[in-house]
Amino acid sequence: MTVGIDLVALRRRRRIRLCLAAVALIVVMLTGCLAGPVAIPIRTVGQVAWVSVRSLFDSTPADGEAGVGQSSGDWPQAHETILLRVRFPRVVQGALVGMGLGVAGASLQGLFRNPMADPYVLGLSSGAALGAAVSIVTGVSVSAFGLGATPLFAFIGAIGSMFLVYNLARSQNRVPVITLLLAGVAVGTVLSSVVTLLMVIAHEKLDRIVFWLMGGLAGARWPVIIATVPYLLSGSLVLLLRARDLNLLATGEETAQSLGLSVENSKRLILACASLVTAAAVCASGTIAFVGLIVPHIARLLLGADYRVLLPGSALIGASLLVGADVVARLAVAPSELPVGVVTAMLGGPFFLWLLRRNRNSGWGGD
Amino acid sequence: MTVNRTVIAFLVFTLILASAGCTRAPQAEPAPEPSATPAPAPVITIEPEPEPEPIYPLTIVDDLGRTVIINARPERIVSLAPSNTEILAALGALERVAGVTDSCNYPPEVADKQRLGQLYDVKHTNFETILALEPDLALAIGGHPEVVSRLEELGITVIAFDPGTVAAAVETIERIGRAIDAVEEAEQLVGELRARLDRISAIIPSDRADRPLALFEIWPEPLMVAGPSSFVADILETAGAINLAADAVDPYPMLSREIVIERDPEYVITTFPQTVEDVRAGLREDLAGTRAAIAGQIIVLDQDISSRPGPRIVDAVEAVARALYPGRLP
Repeated sequence: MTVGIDLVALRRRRRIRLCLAAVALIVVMLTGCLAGPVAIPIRTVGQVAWVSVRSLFDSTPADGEAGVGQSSGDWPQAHETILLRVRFPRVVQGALVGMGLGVAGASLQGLFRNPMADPYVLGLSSGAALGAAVSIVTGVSVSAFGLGATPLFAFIGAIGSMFLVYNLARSQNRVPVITLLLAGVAVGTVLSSVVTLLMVIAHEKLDRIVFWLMGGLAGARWPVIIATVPYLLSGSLVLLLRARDLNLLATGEETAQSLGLSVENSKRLILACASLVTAAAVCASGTIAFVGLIVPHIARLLLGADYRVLLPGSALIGASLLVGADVVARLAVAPSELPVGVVTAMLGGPFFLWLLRRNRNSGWGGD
Repeated sequence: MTVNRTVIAFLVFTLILASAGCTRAPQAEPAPEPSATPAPAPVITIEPEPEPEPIYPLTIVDDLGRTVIINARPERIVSLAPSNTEILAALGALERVAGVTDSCNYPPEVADKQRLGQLYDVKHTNFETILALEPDLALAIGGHPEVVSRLEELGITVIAFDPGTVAAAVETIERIGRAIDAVEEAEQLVGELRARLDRISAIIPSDRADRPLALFEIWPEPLMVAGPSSFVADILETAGAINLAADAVDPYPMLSREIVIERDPEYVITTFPQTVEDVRAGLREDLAGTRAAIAGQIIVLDQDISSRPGPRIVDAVEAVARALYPGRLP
């Protein structure tokens, strides 16, 4: 009897924690809108946001850039430009990318039943890097879906490497996760050495490739957000709806099959969605390491291993971590900036280790 | 994550390259005057040409603080940086150049020189090719101290120069001229370059408040600009502009785009023609609304000219000064 009561209390506590994570995300996003190297009064931030949201719904075409160009109040034009074209897009892109990486990371860790899995496990980051490097070296200028050549090629590279890994790992109609994992590592290594080769051959373009590979949110722009948001949101949503599959897969593939799950179909869907989300995230802001690896573990330690809570938790914590890290990145050495990846690792790493020390009994295999 | 490790390695090297121009080594003492060597008493003869003064062995203190003795007039020089190659060519010493790096592309005559590859760092330098040329002098730059010490170990006479300002770059030409026995050529070239720089400094308003605010874009995405005490920032200063990012922490900061919008530069100097197009196409939120973009005052410089501390650096300064003070320079 006491066990049952404990479970109810535990579930309630976890639901409360999930709500707290949502509140934390809102607080972090508001901070992200208010904090920057240029001090802008809270009143101006509120008014600019309000005016642009209103004009978005009033008459102007909803292209997400409403209000830009004409100063619409008694604040400096520069402040309005900073808010609408620099700060708000950063916060929105940070939240979307952080959410996507968190959900994709948690799903893939579940699918592979491996705590070292992250969104780039199928060679996606190397594929994206290769795509970006090819576009830089060849200097092609194509654009589609509102994306320039480099993000477009990165997206294609990421999806391409996912297909390559998947097909290499497939035997008959089954895709053993271990083979998938190994194929992912091997393909990733091969692709990244091709990137290195390209860098050496086309050394005059080396710095462009290096800078592209160094992920960050400083370049966030509405058109890129609009181009990538459908993939980030739809992919994440499907993964959230498949939480039950992941719960079943956690019991082992044979058990899941015997419990009525169509394991191979489910795996394919989860892989495809996680890859789509990751590709869109890389396309928007380059390779940001660590978020997709550590956020699911933080979520697991705080919220337990039930994917119905773990996935939304990873989304919220991922978004909060990335937006929060970006605030630090833009303030720590103002007027310069830090690469956001450095900050995510320095903020998230110690926090994760502290959690790990505190709950040594939960986590993998716990609960 | 192999890719990340590669990225970090290359990034570090890029930053080292970038900082090559900014960390200013203590200015070397001028090498002993050639005339200080006891010369044989002048004997009046009817020879058409006087016997050249025996200036070698010559002792040089380079910008890494090393004291190097050059035993004889260098006849097989390897140039380990594009700026050195340009200086050697401008001093008329190209026929004495045995090898150049893959990046050396000016003047066009260097195209048929032996290539030495890229000088990334000590692990990626092709020392065999360098040794095979049997050079009697290697001219390096400040950014690769490990390459310099490795060459030294291999028994090659090597000197490294690391000018941190436009003026120091011009002075380096003089010092290289002395090292390779092209003193007269160097004096003439440096005289011309200094005269051009003097003409520029004559038109710059003495009150700093009258000078325009300018941003030097090093890299568009993520935005990286010339910060304080960088070589490139000195181009701005020498051309009579106020550097928008003079208060940043490092010489090549990733500058916040908010700061750019707030400070509103009157001029933007870049080496990327793409930047002009991107501003026009509305892809550059940071620059689109600035005075520079509205007045069409985005100046595109050739990256090779503005990043190499060679003779052409004065061209870069002139190009910027002409844009900042139109009609004031011939």
